[in-house]
Amino acid sequence: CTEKQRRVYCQTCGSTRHFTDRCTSIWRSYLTVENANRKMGLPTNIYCYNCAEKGHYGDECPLERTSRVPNLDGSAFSGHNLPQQLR
Amino acid sequence: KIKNDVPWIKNHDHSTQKEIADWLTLEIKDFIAYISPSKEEIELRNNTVRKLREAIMELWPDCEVHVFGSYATDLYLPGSDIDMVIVSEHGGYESRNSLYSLSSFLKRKNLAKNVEVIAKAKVPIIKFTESTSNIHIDVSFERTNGIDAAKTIRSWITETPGLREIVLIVKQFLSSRKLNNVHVGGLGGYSIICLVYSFLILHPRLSTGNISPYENLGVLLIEFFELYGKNFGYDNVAICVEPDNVCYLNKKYYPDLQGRSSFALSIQDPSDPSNNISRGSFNIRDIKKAFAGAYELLTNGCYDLDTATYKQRIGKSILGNVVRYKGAAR
Ligand SMILES: [Zn+2]
Ligand SMILES: [Zn+2]
Repeated sequence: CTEKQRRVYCQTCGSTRHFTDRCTSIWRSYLTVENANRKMGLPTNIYCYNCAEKGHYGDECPLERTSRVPNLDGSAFSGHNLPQQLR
Repeated sequence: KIKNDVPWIKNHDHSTQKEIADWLTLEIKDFIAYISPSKEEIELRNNTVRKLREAIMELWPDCEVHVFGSYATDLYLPGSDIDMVIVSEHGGYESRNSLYSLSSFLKRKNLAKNVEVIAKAKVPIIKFTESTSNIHIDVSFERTNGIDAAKTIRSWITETPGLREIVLIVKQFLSSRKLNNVHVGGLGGYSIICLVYSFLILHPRLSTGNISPYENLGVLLIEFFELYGKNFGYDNVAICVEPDNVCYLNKKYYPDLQGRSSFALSIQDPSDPSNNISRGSFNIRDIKKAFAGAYELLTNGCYDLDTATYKQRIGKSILGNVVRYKGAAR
């Protein structure tokens, strides 16, 4: 069935909003610091780019988004972008 | 389309990098090295400042001559002008008389050509070209806020690796699109620095110490354009860059920071909480659009090169789509 082949799906991250060759993981890759096993606490400066509230990042804002440019694939300012052990 | 043949690529090919983000990081470092002033240029600028300072103090022995702006913070691009300010105990050098006597003094001493006295502006200045170096100079009078700002910026640069590099790229990007002139609603140098500084301090990976900014300049540059081109809530959010407290403020509670229209960039002045540094940048709509465009250009460059063969990648540039710099190496 050709319909199925054309459906948007990313084999890298499983998203159904972009194809594999447009996956943000292609460029959103970080070179992390060596001694990652030292203790890390949640940062105290988590602020929301959408409502300015402290405690959540803009991608997770419960209020209506004010920017009219869509953010379909998520941005750097998301709880998911914290280092793994803090997510 | 991916650019090739940009000047900073010569002998700096990164096409065999496995990670596209690393390629972009290396290209940013090459570009910074390419546009960074040579030893001769630094000396020429320093000598020009020294010469002018000595001359001005000969005319007015009771004044102090300071530099501020991009020259004082080491964030200048090729052809940037030098900002100087004359201050005194008595505060009297902003008078119309002083402006004209300084301008004729500089002309008489053969230190200045193309002299313009702008006496009626809110901030009166003298603009001229220094005769031997051909560097453009702006002299203002009896204002210390520029000196304070330069001090703040210098401390940010020392504490925040990566800040200088991203600021220079964003400056070059905006200047190639003529969106850096505050007199026509563009984004000024201080505002650009505050945007980059706030972005770096609040970034989830940097605030946790998980990554070092200098080794991740590529992804961070894209994410800078992502934040301010796509996501930032210009209508509600103001930026605060107080020492030890970089945060966002809800504009609703800060009437001083609200502009004439609700869609406006608002950056609280760390040395005057009631002042919005970016209040002159009324063309924020085009600036936001340009940032979003830079995000598209950079990410599309990454996607195209990621699927290209190594042979197709040779000599290609990712940054060349965005910064358009044609000048010679310095
Ligand atoms: Zn994906
Ligand atoms: Zn929010």
